[in-house]
Formats: sequence, structure tokens, C-alpha cells
Amino acid sequence: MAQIFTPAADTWLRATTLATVFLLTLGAFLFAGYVNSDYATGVGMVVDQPVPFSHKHHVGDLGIDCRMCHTGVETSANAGFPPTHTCMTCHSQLWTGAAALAPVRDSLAEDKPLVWNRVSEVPNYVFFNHSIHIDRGVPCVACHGRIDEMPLTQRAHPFLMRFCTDCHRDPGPKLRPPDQVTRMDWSAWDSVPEHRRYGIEAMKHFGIEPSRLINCETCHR
Amino acid sequence: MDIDTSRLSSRTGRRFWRAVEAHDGNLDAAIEAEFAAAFEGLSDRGRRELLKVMGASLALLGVAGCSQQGDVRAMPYVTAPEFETADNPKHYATAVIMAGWAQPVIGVTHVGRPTKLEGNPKHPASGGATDAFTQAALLGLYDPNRAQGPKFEGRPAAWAAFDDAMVENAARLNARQGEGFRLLTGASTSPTLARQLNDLMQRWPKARWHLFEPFDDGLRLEAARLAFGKPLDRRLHVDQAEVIVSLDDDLLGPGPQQTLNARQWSTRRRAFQTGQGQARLFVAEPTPSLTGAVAGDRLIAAHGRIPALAQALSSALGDSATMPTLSALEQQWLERAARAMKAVQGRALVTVGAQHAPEVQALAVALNARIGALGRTIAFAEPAALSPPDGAQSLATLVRDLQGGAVDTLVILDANPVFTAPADLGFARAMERARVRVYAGLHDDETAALCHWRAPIQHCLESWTDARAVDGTVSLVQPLVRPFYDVRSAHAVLEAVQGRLGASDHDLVTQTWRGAWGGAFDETWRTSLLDGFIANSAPAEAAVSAARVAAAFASEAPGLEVLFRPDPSLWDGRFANNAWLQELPKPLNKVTWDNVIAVSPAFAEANHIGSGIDSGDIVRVEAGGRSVEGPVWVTPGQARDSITVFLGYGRRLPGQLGDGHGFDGYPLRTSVSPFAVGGARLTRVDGKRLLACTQDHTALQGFDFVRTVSPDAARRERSGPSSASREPSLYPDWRASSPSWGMSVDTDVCIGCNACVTACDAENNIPMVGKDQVAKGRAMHWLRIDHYFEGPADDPKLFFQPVPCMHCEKAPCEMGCPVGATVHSPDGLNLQVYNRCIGTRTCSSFCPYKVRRFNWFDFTGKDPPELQAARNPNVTVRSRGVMEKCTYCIQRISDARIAAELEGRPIADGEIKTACQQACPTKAIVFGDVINPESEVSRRKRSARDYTLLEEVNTRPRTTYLARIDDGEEGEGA
Amino acid sequence: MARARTPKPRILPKAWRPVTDEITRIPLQHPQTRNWWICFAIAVLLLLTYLISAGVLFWKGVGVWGNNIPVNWGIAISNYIWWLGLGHAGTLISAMLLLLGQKWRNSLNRFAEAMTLFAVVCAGLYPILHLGRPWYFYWMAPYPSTMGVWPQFRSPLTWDFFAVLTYLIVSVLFWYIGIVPDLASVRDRAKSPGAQILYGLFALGWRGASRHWARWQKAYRLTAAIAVPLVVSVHSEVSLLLAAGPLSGWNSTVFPPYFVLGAAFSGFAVVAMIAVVLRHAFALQNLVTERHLDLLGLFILATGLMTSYGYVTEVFNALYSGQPFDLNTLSSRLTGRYAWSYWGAVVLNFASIQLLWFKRFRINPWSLFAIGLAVAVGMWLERYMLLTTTLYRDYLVSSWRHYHASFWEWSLYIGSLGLFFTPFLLFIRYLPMISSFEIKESIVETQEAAHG
Repeated sequence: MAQIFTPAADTWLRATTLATVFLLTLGAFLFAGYVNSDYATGVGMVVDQPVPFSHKHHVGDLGIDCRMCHTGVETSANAGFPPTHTCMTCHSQLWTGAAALAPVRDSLAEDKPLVWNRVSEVPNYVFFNHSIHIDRGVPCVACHGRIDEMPLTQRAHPFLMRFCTDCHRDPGPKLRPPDQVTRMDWSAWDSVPEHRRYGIEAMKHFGIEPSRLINCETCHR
Repeated sequence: MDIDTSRLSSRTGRRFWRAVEAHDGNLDAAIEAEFAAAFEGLSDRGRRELLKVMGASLALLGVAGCSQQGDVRAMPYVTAPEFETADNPKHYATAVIMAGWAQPVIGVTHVGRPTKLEGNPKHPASGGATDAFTQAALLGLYDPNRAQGPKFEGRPAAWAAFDDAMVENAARLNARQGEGFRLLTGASTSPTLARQLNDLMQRWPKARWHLFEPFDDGLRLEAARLAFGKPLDRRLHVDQAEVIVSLDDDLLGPGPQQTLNARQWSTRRRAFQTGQGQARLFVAEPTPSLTGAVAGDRLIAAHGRIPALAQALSSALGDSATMPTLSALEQQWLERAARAMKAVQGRALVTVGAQHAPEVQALAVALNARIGALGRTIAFAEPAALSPPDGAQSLATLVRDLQGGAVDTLVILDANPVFTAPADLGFARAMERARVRVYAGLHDDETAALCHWRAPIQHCLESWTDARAVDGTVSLVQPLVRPFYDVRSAHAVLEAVQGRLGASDHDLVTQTWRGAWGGAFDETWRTSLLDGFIANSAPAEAAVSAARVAAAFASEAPGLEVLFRPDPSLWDGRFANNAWLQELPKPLNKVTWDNVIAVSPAFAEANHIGSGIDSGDIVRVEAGGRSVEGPVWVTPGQARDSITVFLGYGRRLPGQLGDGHGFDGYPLRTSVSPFAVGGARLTRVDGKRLLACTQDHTALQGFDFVRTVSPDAARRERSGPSSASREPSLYPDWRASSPSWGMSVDTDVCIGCNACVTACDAENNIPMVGKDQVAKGRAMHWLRIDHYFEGPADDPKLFFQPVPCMHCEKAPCEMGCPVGATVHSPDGLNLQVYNRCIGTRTCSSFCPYKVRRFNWFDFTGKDPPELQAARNPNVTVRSRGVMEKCTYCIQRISDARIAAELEGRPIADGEIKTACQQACPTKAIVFGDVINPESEVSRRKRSARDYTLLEEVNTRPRTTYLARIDDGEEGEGA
Repeated sequence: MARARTPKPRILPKAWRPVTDEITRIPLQHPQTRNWWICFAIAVLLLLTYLISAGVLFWKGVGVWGNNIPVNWGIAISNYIWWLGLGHAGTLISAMLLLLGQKWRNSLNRFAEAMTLFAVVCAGLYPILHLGRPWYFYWMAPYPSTMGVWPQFRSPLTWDFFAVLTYLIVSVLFWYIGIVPDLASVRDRAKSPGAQILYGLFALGWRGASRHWARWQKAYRLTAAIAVPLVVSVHSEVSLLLAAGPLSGWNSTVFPPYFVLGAAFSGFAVVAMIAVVLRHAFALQNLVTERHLDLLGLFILATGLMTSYGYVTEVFNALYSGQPFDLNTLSSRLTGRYAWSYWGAVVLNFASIQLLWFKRFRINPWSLFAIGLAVAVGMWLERYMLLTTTLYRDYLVSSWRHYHASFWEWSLYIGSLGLFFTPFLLFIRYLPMISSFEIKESIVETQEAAHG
């Protein structure tokens, strides 16, 4: 009776089996890599805006405090976007003719709101409250990154659930003196030994219990 | 466009009559035809479809509500309003108007959108409570079915055209001092309207104003006139009455009075609970009412027996009046009542329902006077409501004049007589005789269909006006939001029909009060706006002399009698387009989206031979040569010879939400006997109607879900710390740290009024699912009020039991969920994480209380923009396939917690009020920290009356109940 | 029935040589082509129904079913339990009897295992279909998600998920390992190159070398050893799905054994039916002998009686506890709206099997088939009864409500029969449905034993 398979058939069979297993594993890893990638989470991506607003210039160079424009940040859930009026308090004097600012002037003239595209968008089903975070001394930079170094604003961290929970599990190291929340550069902070204790002290002082922070209802209702 | 009057009268007018006559007087057909144009291609009247269509036509409000999609766009103000901080809600004191009466509220708005109405705690009448109608008024504001712009002959027109037409018309009338001009309004208490009417009468002395309200206090005023010689408003001080004998007077039932009476009654009742005096309630009534349900001693007596009982009570209390013959039962009840009254003398109150003959009511007034109750539990004051020239005959007069052709221009303001007017008057046909007919109302309703001009008016939450609350206090009504639609305030329309244009509602109202206050205006105006009412603006209580006893009267024995009652959810039908009210289970039969004909079990049983009557069977009710057909509901506690027809359904609103639900009972109602008619016949006709009922079984069947205790047992303090069962459990206890939230529901004061349920709908974005789904057992209310009866079906005890989530400490649902979507919070809440839920429904299967609700379909996705705008942005809108349930209003807890943390203080007791607690007029619901022994809720849970629902399941609920106190027969000692 | 009276029916044919041909000829030149195509066509139609029903379900939502509050679970879950139950006999017969060295199993194990596989597939899909948001079913699996959350391990459903998945995998392995040598012999007898290559591939180059046989023995028995405890664990898990809840009628310690035995019971019933049909259709009387039917009958009787014990315990527990709610559930089972399902189960599961006390009915294919059918239906009724009667009248009177399965629920169920029969028909068409080599092995062994 004629041979159906060549002697190598067995080897091939084993090889293909192994290859399949390998490819599947690889695929899994690739997928995992993707969902965590900046590409998927939108980190570092610049969203185009009606006006090419530069935080670098306003915050970094001019040193304007965040709360100048984002007025709600200490008192309510949303930091809030500045009304056109706020922009014009300065820009009625400065760069009055600048083409880039045309939309702002139009907005005021026609009483039409500027339509910004959110950069740091709170994910669905999440109820985030700025005021309490600011009050406890979570610095802006913790979530929004070095905004003072961004000519065009971009998302600094992946707003995945994990990003929030990592901090809620152990807020200590992220905490800073509440009177300095808007400070951007904290590179020197950890080098000072007694600062290491600050987090623990702050947690005690505010009575922050991670065991409570980590519960679903903290963010989801 | 400019139309001169001749064209108006000839072309439009006549052709329109022909249109109606062409339909051979078939009104429905006429209306169908009328609306056909307006609602072309709207065959499917399914709620969802309908709302979609209506919503599609609107691009109002750039707000998407809190949709599933995170909003990727941000649109800041151009110039931020003063004090505006991002998204913090703002509160405005105002009022909504119910049948002419102000219901004071605090309107909560988020970024300019009203999202919730809360009671006004400062207000003397409501004290911060609301009723179901008031809560639902919010949805009325956003109702996509509202008339959205002026119409001429059913086709959209411009206000300019309306103004022109009115100016022309007014010019004509001016010449004749307004002869032939008639204004028909619903009940009103608005001082501004009163002022406008005065002006009108001065300008046009020959004009006439008429008023019609299907359910008003007309007979009460008449009774007062009999007693004191002049019509006076009755002012009850229920909180002063230790013994109340109510002869078919539904004090605590739905209506403008409910909040005030319920609040005062519960005040007295709570005093009694702590041993201060009594709070006994004797009720004799033909059909079960909320008052009867909570009465300690209830007698089932036909409508026709009430006069006899009144007389008997009067003679039992020493009046010479002849003692009528009573049945044994009646006799015993009467003796108990009389004895109780004698015991407390002046601290008693006798009251007779407003639907009874003035003589009977007057007798009760006299009785109160005799026992010295006058001025203590009952007082009288100048009428708060505007009374029309012809008094009770107002509508009849109008119809007569119409038929006589004396009416040239008929303006109907915020009333729907074509649907609600007594059948014998034939109003609809009569009004066709008026040459110019103008309708000003919220909806394109039955009356609008027969008018040339439709001038849609503003909802009270978007316009300036004023009105009196039931205690007479004036509320200034300020708008919470700019009108969405092309509508005008009723005041402005009233000016316009007189040819006076350009008056804004704000001006008209301020004008009124400038006149009243003169120099002090600015100050008073500001404070009144902030308070939501004008301090001490209620008419003082008149010092009335002891009333003279009304003449004795014969009580007729009518055989089978038909009673007419407003529907507990739709009132006279005005709320037909309000989904929250349509889907609100009626307190005593839990039916939604339908009205019924109530008959007693005995009656149904007796008619079982041959016909056989079960709930849902269609029957024909004939009385006075008229008849209606509707589904029957076998009602425990109904009088054997009384059948109750609930009015307000059977609306003819083609293409609108409220169209075609239930049956129209008005055809049976005549001006002669508007509340009850005798000598009726009930016959079964073929067919059965599927009634969407949220509770199939109401017999308690010996279970102890609701409990009763004796008065003295109630006063003992319990020994143990809490009622929560402490049987061993396999699961470790939660760390009990303050705050740990819990709730206590006092079934002794719960009157089942549904205010809490509606408040919950509004607060938590509860989706309405429509009749079919409710019938399938898929209603979504997070809070339901279970209704039980105990004992013989013909004389049962009636109970209410609000059932929210129990927030068990040993919650089976938490153990069952495979993905951890239902979790326990450190402050003791049992919570549902919607975005984690995959819908295995294990939690609901394991829940012994079945308080969880499931999104069987996508109930929210297709809501039109208006309804999305009405949503509470602090509560997730649930999508298809997820479980949901009561959260103890966690959004309120979170807000309070954050506020407290920002201020570095603990959360104060009573700082957090759940929506249901806030709305409850009897303070039956208390929420708070169960760890703090000083908190109100802890104090309640220490009471001996505190018990746990289904204690044997050992779920250790945080929601517990206070047993009802039975102060019936053996209550004397208390 | 002449042969029925022979005192000792043979378990196995005398000669072992023809056995392989007899079995392997079926895949190669199918004897029943026409009838097979008819059955297959019907099965595919049913499968189509299944797909449509599932499609509608996904498109519209679970609302298309008749469920409500309180009856959250309807025939979807009872079918799940039922199908999974059928899937027990296979492993029980092959694995357990293998380890116990019961030679007679060899004529039954192959198609019993196949039946198991397909039944478990039918079962396994139900829990996914019944979800509110089926597209998230994988959240039940533990994996490192970006949310950093895991399944809730106290939940019986989580363990269900693991149990069923494990059971499926192990069953597949066991079945495949078992069939390899026969695939080889089919390959060797195949004429067309296509068939040769196909069977050849799946035979994994089996040459029947003694080394192969040695390893095969190890692998096969090892898998069997793994499979046996699963039989118990799977349906115990399923029972906890109900028993873990606080509802009266569910919350009972008898549930795990009650469910496992019920499962085996229904499984044997179905195996018996299939055995009868196959031996008739393919004239395998000398492989699947009356002795086999006899033994199957005995098994059905035994497991059936144990299941009936469960019924007794349930009633007893309710009465003994005296709890008003337990009594209430009991009465609604015996007399309530769905009493038909209870009494149906009692009659079909208890009364019917009493016939099996008599050998006459055990070895008669027709009566055995009829009883098997009765039991299959009876067990379906029982599962339905357990689900519905507890939910539709649970604690609070106010939430009592009836449940009627909707059209789409029924169509999905009918369709799931197609999901079962389509692959099963393919199996009997293209694979050796009886383990020829194991039969031969045991023939030889017995003969050697006889020669001593």
C-alpha cells in the first residue's frame, strides 16, 4: 500500500502545532501591548483646537496660575473652561490684531462660545471631583503633566481606571502642600529626606483611608 | 399676514363649523380629522416612537444631558453669569400650580436646566414636603407633547398673526364695550389674574368671565354660606385634632390640600406616638381612600348613607335632630366615634367630603361649632380662589349664552371644558356658536381642536406669575428657565386678546405688587422671591359667630350608586401626557396607564352568576340614561352598593403620549349630580382589558410583612441596640464605622401618596417603560409602595409599605455577582456598578425583597433631547442589559461628604436627605447615620416598633420599619 | 423476543477480526446515506432557527424573552442545567467504567463521549446568551485588564464558568485521545487520497507501534482519572447557582448530589436512546448487544431512584423546617400554576422507570427507548420546575408574578437541538462511532482468559 505521508510529516505536524501555540501567545501579548499603548490611550497626542493655545507660553513663560482661567477647580467638580471674556481681559490689550486670536474676538463679538476639544476627558461612568483633590493637595501636574511645557496641550497620562486606582491605593507619595498644588516642577521634592514623611503625615492629617478610596462608589454611581 | 375680521368670521369660522357638522356631531372623529394634518405619518403611538418623533423636531438646548458618550466638546460661556461656578447646582424658590393652587417648591437647576423640584422648607403650608403632582411637574415642563407654537385652524401660525387678529377683534369689541366677549378659565388664585380681570371688566363692562374646574370646593363655599351667610374658605388645623371623624372626606388623598393636611396629621400622629394625647381617625366612606387606609376605625358606608350618619352623629352629640335609623355596624361605629369625640371635646374635628350636599357639610360645621372646635381644629377665612360672577352656575350660564348666540368671542384660558365639562351641558356643541374661539393652554387638547386660534402658554416653571397656596399664602412664581418653545405667559395672552400687546409677564406681575406695596416694593419683592412666598399674605381667619344649624334633610336611598373621583395619578386628566404620572401605580390598586371602575368583592361575587366579574372585565355602567364602558377592578373595602368611576382617562390627544389610555368617564357625569348618581345599572359586556398592574397579589395571607402593635406597646423602648437580627452568619461582619447609613420607614404615618416614588423618578433618572412592559412585570421604579389588605375582603384593614433597597449587611446579591458589579461600601451602602454589570441577573434572583430592576431593553437611548435635558447629571443613565436599584441617593451622599471634607467637619445629622425622604409629607422616611446614637434614625430604630422585613432570612437590612399602631377599638386607653 | 430469553446474552462477538471492518466501513461507505441526509437537513434547519433566535436576542435585548422581576431566569437557565446534565453520561461511562475495568463500556463509550461534547457545547452557550450584555461575557474570566479588576470569587457563577470550561476541554481531550487509533485504521482502509490525508492528519501519524500503545494507555487513563472528579464537580457547581441563594426551594444542602445524580440519570437515558437507534440503523446488534441495553436499563433505574430520593428529601425538608416560606414554595410546586412541571417530572422520572425492574423492558429496544425519552423529558420538566416555582413566588407577596416563556425562548431551545444533532450526525457519518480496537482488545483478553 502506497505511503500517504512523507517521513517528514510528523516533524511538520509538530512544527505547525508549536507555531500555532507560539503565534497565539504572541498575539495575546501584542493585544495587551496595544491597549496599554499611548496610541490607544491617546497619551501625548495633540488635539486640534479652534485657537492654538499654548500653556507653555501662558503658564511656563508668563507664569499665570491655573486658577486664573480654570476658576471652578477649587469649588466644584469641573475645573471649567474660561469664558471668552477671560481671554479678552488681556487680549483686548495684547495681540489685539493677531490672526490666531480671530476666533476669540469673533466669539465675543457674535456671542458664540468657543468650541474647545477636551484633552483630559474623564472616561464614561466616572464622577470626578476636582475640588476635593485640590483641597487634599493632589497637584495639577499629577494628572495633567507638565502643562507648562506643552506648546500645544496633550494628554499626559492614560486615563485608564488603573491610573486612578494606582493613586487611590496609595495617595501618600502623590500628595503635596495644598497651597502649592498648581506648582509644576516637583523634581527636587523627593530629594529632600523629610519630604518622604509628608505623604504619611498628610494622610493622617486629612484622615485619608485608601481602603475607602479604592471602593467602586468613590468614582462610580 | 393681516386678516380683517370679516374674513376671520366668515371664512375661517364657518368653514370650521361645517368641518365639525360634516362629521355629524361625532366629536372624536372631528378631533381626529382636526389633528390628522398636524400629526401626519404618526400612526405608531408607542411611547418611545412618539417621543422620538416629537423630539426629532427639536434642536432646542445645546445640552445633551448626561448621555452614555463622554462629551468630547467643551463650550464655555462667552461671558460667565455672575456667581456662576462651573457646574454647581443653583436653587430658586418658586411654585408650581395645581388646579389654581400654588405648590411651593425650590427648583434645582444644573447649568440652566431645571432638574429637580424640592419642597420649600420655609413655606408655612408645605414645610418642605411635596406631592406626586408637584414632583412630576418637572416632566410637564420638558413634555415634548406640549403645544410648541401658535396655530390657526390647526396649522402653525405666527404670534404676529395672532396679535393682528386679536387687535382687529378687540377693536370690534371696544365699540360694543366688550359685549359678546367671554372668558372661560380654570380655577385660579392669582392676584395678578384678578387684577387683569378687574381691568378687563372696567374696559369692557359687557364682557363676562366664567370659570370651570372639574373638582373644586364649590360645595364647601356653599356650605359655609349656609352656615355663616357668606362663602368662606375652610382652614383645617388637623395637627390640633386629637379625634377626627371624617364622613367621606379624603383629607389625606390626592389634591391641592394633600401636602398640608398630611403634614399636619402626621405631626399630631407623631405626638400621639410619644404619648402626647391621641390621634384617632374615624372614617366612613364608600370607596377606599388614603384617609380610610390609615384610619384606625373605618366604616364602609355608601355615599347615600353619609347624610344619615352626619345627622346621627349630630344627635349623638346632643343635637335635637331626629336620630335616623342606622344599621348595627353603623350604630356601633357611630357610638365609638361619638364617645371618642366627647372625651376630647374641642380637640375634635368633624368633616364631610366636598362632594356632599352643602346642607350635610353645613351640619358638620355646626357640629364643630357646638363641640367648641371652631377656631381650634377648624377655622374660616375669606376665599383665596377667585370666584366668578355666577358662582357654581358659571359654566351653565356660559353654555346658555352660547346657545342663545350671545357669545361672539370665546377665550378659553388654561381649561379643557370640551373634555371635562358635565355631559348634560353639551358644551362642545354649544361653543361652536361662538364666532371667534381662542384657546390658550399647555397642550393641543380636545378644546384646542375646536378653536380657531391656539395660543400655547408657558409652563409655570418658565414664566412669571403668582398664586396662593392652600393656606392662602401668596407665592411669587419665577421662571427657572427660558421657554423652550414658541409660547407666551397666560397673562400676556389675556392682555393680547384685549388687543393690548407687548406686555411681559414680569411686568404684569410686578405691576400687581407695585400697586400693593408701593414704596416697599423693591425690598418686599426681593425677600419674597428669595423666600418663595410673601410673608403673612394669607387672608386672616375670620371671626365667625357660632353657626346656625342647617335644616334637617332627607337622605335618599339610591340603590346602586356611581361615584366620580379624580384619578389619583392624572387628576381630572390634565396630566395625561406626563409619563411619570401615567406609570405611577395608583395607591390602592397599583394599576398604571389605565383607569378602572371599582366594585366591591361582594358585588363582583353576587354578579358571578352568569356574567361573572373579575378585574379587567369590561362592564357598562348606566345611570341617568347615560353610559360608559370600562374595565372593572374588584376593590377590597368598597361599599357593596357603590361603584367608583375614576375620571381623567380616555383623553383624545392624537399623536400625544396621553392619547387613548383608559376610558372616559365624564359622559356619565352631569351638572346635576357631579359627584354621585344613584339608580345605576352595571352590566358585563364582552371583552377583558389587560391592566398593567405592578402588584398582582395584595392579600397579606397571614405573613407579617406589615405589623401592628398596641399603643402602649409602641411607647416602650427596645432593649437591644437595633432590630437587625443577630443570628450567626458565615460571612464576616463589616467594620462598623461612622457614618454607616441606614433608613427607617414609619408605616404608622405612611399614607401611600406616591410622593416619594415620583421624587425618586425625578432624582434618579428612572426610565418609564410603557404599559406593555409594566404588564410584563418590568416597571423600573426603584422605590415601590407595597399595598396589602388583611382580613375579610369586604371589610379589610389596608396597609402601605414603601420598599426601597434594604441595603443588607449580609447581602445575597453581593455574593452572587460573578463580576463584582454589586458591592458593599464602607459606609454600609449596597451598590450597583452599572458599567461593570454584565446582566446575569443573579443578584435579583437572590434578592429576597426583589427590589432590583433590570434594563430588559434600551429604555433610555432613544429619549428625545428634552427628556435628556431633564435628567439629573449626577446620576448615571443606565443602558440596556444592566441591573439597577435604589442607592440611598448616593449622589447626594457623595456631594455632602465632599462638602463636609472640604470644610473639614463631619456630616451633620439630617444634612443628607434622600429624595424620597425629602418629598414625604408625613416624614415617614428618615435617613441617617445608624452608628451615631443621637441621630434621628438611630432614635427611631431604638423604638419598640422597629422591625426588620423578612428577619428570618438574616440579611440584616439597613432599612427597617416602624410597626403601625392600632388605636382602633382598644385604643381608648391610650 | 426469542433471543431476549437466552439466559446469558453475549457481550461481545466471537471473532475479533471483522470488528474493525464492521465499524470503519461506516465512515467510508455509509450504509444509510439517504436517511442520513434527511436527518442532517432537519438538523441544519434547527441550527438555523438557533442562529436566528440568537441574532434577534442580541439585536433587541433579553427583553424579547418572557422574563421579568421576580422571574429573572427562565427556560434559558433550566435548559442550561438540562443540557449540561445530558453531558454527564459520556464521561461517566467512558472514564469511570474504564478505570473500573468494565469491558462492556467499549461498545458505548465513543458515541457517549461525542454526545457529551455536543451537549456541553449546547449548555455552555446558554449562560452567555442569557446575559444582559453578552459581549462582556469574558469579564467572568480572570485576566489582567486595564481596569485592574478581577472576577468575584465568592460567586457560584464564577466557578461555574471555570467548571464548565474545564469539563469541555477535558472531554475533548479524552474523546480525541480515544479516537486516534481508530482514525488510523480508517486512514488505512480509506480509498480516496482526500480521505486518507484527512484521517491521516488527525491520526497524528499513529502507526500502532507498541511504544505508541504504551504511551496511549498512559495518556488515556490519566485523562480519565482527571475527568472522573469533574463529573461530580461540574453539576455540583451548577446546583450552587441555585442553592447559594437564600430562596426557599433552592437553599438546600441536598442540591449538589441531587443535581449530579439527576444529570447522570438523564445522561444514561439519552445514551440508551442513541444506542438503540444506532444499533438499529447500522445493524450493530452484535456490538451493542442486549446485554448492553440491559446494563443501561439498570443504570437508569439506579440513578433514577437516587434522583427520586432527592424529590422526597425536598418535600421532607420543607415539612420538617415548618418555615412558612418553605411550605409556601412546596405548595406552589405541588398545586401552583406550574404544578404540571412538578407532577410531570414525578411521573416521567419516577413512575416510568419502574418498568425497568423487569428485564423484559430493559432488553427490549423499543421500551428502553420510550423510557429513555420519558426520562429526558421528565428531567427537562424537573429543571424547569426548580427554576420557576421558586422564583415566581418568592418571599414578598407583593412581588409574586407569573412567567411565560416567549416565542424566542422556545425557538432558541428547539434550535439548540439542531446545535446538538448537526455535529452529532456529522460524527456518526465521518468518524468511527464505536471504539473498534478496544472491543478487539477485550475480545482477545476474554478469549485468552478462556484458553487459560
